[in-house]
Amino acid sequence: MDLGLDVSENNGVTVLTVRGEVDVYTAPRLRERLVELASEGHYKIVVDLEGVDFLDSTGLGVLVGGLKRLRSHDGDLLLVCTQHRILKVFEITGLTKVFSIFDSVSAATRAE
Amino acid sequence: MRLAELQIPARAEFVSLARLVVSSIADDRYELTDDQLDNLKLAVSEACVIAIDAQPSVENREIAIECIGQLDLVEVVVSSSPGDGASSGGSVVAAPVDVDAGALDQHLGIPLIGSLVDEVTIEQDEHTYAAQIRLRVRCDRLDID
Repeated sequence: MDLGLDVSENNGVTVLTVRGEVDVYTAPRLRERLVELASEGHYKIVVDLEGVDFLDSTGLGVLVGGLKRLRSHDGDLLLVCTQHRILKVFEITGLTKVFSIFDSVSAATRAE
Repeated sequence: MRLAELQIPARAEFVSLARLVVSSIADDRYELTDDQLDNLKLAVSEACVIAIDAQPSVENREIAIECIGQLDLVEVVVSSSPGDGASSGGSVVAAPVDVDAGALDQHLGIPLIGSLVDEVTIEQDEHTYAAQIRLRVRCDRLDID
């Protein structure tokens, strides 16, 4: 099962576009990429989840870990997600109170 | 009525297969909404992770997934290997998530699974660590044998 991870820049902000299924098997790759980006000095990252078909608690854990890491450098991890099936996972776990979730990459990259 | 029984290696790369098989069978036999199907896929996935994590780190372990159909409910039972000398152990109750708790990036699977299906029980043997997770979704059956 493939997980697509593409890094780009939008409005001077790093965007990590994720495609495919984020689960116990693929989540470590997402974690690795976030750690890599942080180590390269990218402390504000927008994670675009619009191409994600499945997200489980392991994936949530990776995103929470990424958020903590970036905030420890006074940065932030913002999410882009409009899919009900993915948003639902954040809602059930209460993580909508923890993450800033946007409708589009442009909205997320413009956020302060 | 047993609809399917699947045994997979207790490894992360096989979890997607388990959720795909269970959701396909449930979708074929029962009238499930898209939401219920998504929830069931996620619940099965989380249950498999719990079963895998419950296992001691021994090679060639397997987890069993059983899909059982009744008139108005589909039940999925995910079990890890009992090991030697297994006996029934305690239950785990799916507690609400504490958003302010320090370890948000850990153990989200158990409270998550409790919100996805109509009933869930999680049991783990305290000596062998063998785990069994039962998921129940209430729905109408499409075919009557």
